[in-house]
Amino acid sequence: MLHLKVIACEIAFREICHLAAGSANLIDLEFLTQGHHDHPEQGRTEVQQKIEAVPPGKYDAILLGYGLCSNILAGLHTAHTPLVIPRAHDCITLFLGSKERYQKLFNTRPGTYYYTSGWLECRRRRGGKATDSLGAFLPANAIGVLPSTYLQWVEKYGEEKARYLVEVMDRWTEHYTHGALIDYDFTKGLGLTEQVQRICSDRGWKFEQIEGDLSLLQRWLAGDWPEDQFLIVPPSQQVVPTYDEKIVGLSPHDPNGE
Amino acid sequence: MEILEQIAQAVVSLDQVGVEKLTRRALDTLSPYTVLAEGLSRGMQTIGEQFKAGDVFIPEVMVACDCYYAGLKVVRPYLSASDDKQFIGKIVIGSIHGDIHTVGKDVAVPVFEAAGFNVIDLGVAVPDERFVAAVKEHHPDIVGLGTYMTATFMHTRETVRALADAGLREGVRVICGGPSVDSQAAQRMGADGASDNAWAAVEVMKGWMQTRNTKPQGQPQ
Repeated sequence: MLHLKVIACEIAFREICHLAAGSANLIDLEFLTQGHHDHPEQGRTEVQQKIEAVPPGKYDAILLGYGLCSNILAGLHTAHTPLVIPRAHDCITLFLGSKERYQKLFNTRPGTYYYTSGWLECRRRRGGKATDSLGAFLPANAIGVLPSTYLQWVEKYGEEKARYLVEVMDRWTEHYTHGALIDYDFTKGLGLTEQVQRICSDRGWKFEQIEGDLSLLQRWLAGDWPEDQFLIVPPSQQVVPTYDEKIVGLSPHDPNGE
Repeated sequence: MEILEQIAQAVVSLDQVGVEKLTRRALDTLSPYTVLAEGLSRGMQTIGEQFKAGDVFIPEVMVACDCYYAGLKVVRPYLSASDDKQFIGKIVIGSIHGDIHTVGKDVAVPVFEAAGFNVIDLGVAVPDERFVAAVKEHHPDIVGLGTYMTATFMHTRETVRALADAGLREGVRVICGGPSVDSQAAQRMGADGASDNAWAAVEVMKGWMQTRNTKPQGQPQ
């Protein structure tokens, strides 16, 4: 039995908890706030701090539940316990089971916004309302500016212009055409379908349902880490983006280079 | 406050109606190029400085771009053929194939224009063959590839190869833009550089224009 420490984005909370509950390994879970891909340097710092807080000798490995996600992973390193990271551009790969399946779906229709239980729930998990009109279709604040910045905008430009700025935030989705719910048997009772259908209806997107695949996450938690699917980072090495099909690779870590 | 400063301030204040009014008034006494370069463009420069300082966010930059365009629409009919010669370079730009995101490019285009570049915008998810055709048609100095996801940044290799296969690579510089780009990685994929914000890209491209007779180095590895 392996003793594993998971440090993961809360976006995958239900999926990881579901698998960890049935795992043969002993797994300690720690979830960090979703949305760090909007502030990758801040996110990287927080993940690195969590890695450094892991005591030496306690775990067989530290599992990082992140994709490359705007290069959050770049530069992460470990002093003692190896890191194990799925090779993924972002978390959608984790929910679809393989980077190849995600790539195929992405190539078929790049204008798809993917939803999972995590995307739909993490706003409420943080105390926000799922029905907030400001960016309600987003799990977090897409450009990291709501709601405190909205109040600053009101003060700076007036309410009308502040609301217009919020509308402008949506422009990044103007070429999206579909909303796809990735779900699993264990999430079918959560009412996710209705929520995503409503979002799609509001935004003029076509709704689609995709069967999720937990096999990649399952192997990750089981300690089955084939090289083409996972990067193992030993001490003295750090994560680098490779910008090829491997997605992430290794380079020597310079402790003085920080 | 002189009127050019007022125009710049109206851009920064996101006051589109004010920009239009002030631009019309300025054209009564000033040359269209002066209004463009020292009023509208200066406003874009200021909003860029505020963005870099973290004082404004992307939505504000985007609305400032709208204001710039509103003023440009007023000025454009008065710009003469001789004004065209004041462009410092020509850029063909588009989001790379597979990438439907447009916000970064929609900020980059007016920033590049305000910096004095003539910009031809090919839109989003631009197939490689359209970049090739546009380079043949417009003979740009620079090709700008919008790559707004780490997955689509990787497409740079294919687009550069398409330009090379068409015999066009040596005649242009290629720059990638997007939140997760890396200049060294872009060069490994055959581009000449990369920048994660439009104002920094302007500085890189201005440098290229000063040495335009030297050949681009990038080839896909």
